[in-house]
Amino acid sequence: MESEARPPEGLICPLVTPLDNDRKLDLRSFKRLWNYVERWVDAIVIGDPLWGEGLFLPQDLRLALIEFAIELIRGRRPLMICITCSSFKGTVLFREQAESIINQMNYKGQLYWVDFPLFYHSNRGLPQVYETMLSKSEIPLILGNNAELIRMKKRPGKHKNIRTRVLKKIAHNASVKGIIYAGDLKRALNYHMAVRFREHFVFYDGDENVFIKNPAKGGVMAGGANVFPQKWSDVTQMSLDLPPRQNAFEPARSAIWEDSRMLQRFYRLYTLLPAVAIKKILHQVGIIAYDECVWPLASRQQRDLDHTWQIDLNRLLAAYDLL
Amino acid sequence: MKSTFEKTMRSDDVINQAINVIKIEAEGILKLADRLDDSFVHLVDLIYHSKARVIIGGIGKSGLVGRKIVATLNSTGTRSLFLHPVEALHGDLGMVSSGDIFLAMSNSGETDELNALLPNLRQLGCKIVAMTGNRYSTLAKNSDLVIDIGVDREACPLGMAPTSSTTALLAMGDALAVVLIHKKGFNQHDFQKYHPGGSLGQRLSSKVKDIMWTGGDVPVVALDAEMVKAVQIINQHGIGAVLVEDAEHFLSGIITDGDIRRVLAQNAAVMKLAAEDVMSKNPKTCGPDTPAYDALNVMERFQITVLPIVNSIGKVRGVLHLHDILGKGEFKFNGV
Repeated sequence: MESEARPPEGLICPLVTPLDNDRKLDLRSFKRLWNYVERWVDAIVIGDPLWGEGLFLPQDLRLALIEFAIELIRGRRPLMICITCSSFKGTVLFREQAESIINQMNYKGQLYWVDFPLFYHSNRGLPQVYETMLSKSEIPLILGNNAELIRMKKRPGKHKNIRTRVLKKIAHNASVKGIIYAGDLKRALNYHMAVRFREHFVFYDGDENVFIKNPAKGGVMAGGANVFPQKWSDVTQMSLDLPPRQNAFEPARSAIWEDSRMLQRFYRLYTLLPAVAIKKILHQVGIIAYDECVWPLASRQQRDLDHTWQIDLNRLLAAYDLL
Repeated sequence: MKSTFEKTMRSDDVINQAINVIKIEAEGILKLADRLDDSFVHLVDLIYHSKARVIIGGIGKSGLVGRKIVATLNSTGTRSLFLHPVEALHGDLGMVSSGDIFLAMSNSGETDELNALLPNLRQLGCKIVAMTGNRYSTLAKNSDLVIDIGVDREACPLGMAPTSSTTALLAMGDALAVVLIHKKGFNQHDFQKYHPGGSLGQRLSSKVKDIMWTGGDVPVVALDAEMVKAVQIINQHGIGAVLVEDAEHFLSGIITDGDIRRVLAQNAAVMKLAAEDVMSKNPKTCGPDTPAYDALNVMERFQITVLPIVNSIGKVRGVLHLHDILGKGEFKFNGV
């Protein structure tokens, strides 16, 4: 039996990284976004590869983001910091720099590293990587597994998911507290069986659309919560029967169904280009000042965003009276 | 032609006979009170703690009384269904779910159609409660609980037509419904929830967007507005509050008469402050599509009379006052 504190459960919001027209951190918009979601989320992730554009942001900007987020959040919610970089060395170095900043700030709130290891490392030797990396850190880690993300970098034929037996070995490291998982149900079941010796090992759904259909026990990392924090909070709390909405699912079944339907319609709109689309929506409804992104867009994608996508977005915003 | 004397005599007989029937039936009901025992308490507990439904079955007059008891239970917050035993054997048994409580009503306890149903109900996982006048009947022996509704005699001179026994059954059903009302804390508002026909019911069954104030009728000020302006708007709109929104129309807070009094007690120069300094942050809100009844619940739970209405992302869409739901002069917390 492990005697460790449970990581947060419920709604995890991977915040987008607001940038101004010069691609510098737009602190005012970040503060506004945080104020907008704070009441409803159980934890936040900053610098996420997909939602926070972590992989494409300059290192100094990512470090500044950590510093600002720590000052802003002041321990009111658990903070998850994504450390994944495009190389193993880069990730190790970034983790060290980030931890140095955190130590200087003498931060007492709950902190977690989030890492998608297959982006820069193969399955081979991964448990040892974490043994080494986490032995030097006081901050626990949440793993990330997202085949779609890895597909952006690795060529066909390479493993896009953490292998089950590798996860089992990694889970022997008590500093690894859980996993944000996006993938098929069969693999999810195998993962669950592999880590059943860890009582408090938490599974979060990394794909919010899957969570709406089959909620994972630990909660969901929902990028849509940037735009609809209250709706996502309602759906998450009622699906997981979490306080303060315990026993509230039955009487609110119809309302939750309607909300979930709305969230799914928006999900279809932003799922292909998560950070770019979410930023455009947030900008259009007036939460962030700019929709500037560092995500590399193909010219065809840019064309779609400017025309077809924008028409669909306007239609949806009008349908739900959001403008 | 019959004399007036004969007519008078006949009228007296009629009245006497009617009085006799009423007395017999009243006696029957009064004796029920003596027969009430732990079984009734267990039945009330069973229904109170169950999330499933109460299903009532009976044939003939018992069935008719059963339908009335179903209606009473439903209107007082206990989900209930009537199941005709014959129809049940031909498919209607499908409406029964595991965990349902089946109230079998038969004075004799030997109604074949009803008793034939018992094994199937047992198989489905129902609790069976007999309401019968015969504790030693087949029905009673095959039930988990027996509620004795026996009467000494029927009011029918032939002793054939169910009269006192059905009255006793009806009284027992009402007793069950009323005890459950007390136990569940079912109040006037709950009753109105199930009776949407009245004017209050109609208001409660509508959506917030149908009754809220919108557009220029919504008292609203900007975050940086001076309190002088906020107080002017409160006075103009007369609902005792003003909503505070930011430049993008996201709701930031609310200023009520109470907020101003509280600030005034600490800082006499309240009029020099900005709305942002006085407002209560994160007020309770509802969406435009929220049922008015749910909005009323929020107001009651948090003891507030003004509810900002916001869309899915928190932009101000309107405002709702308690009077808009309950009507002026009618509102009382907890509906009593």
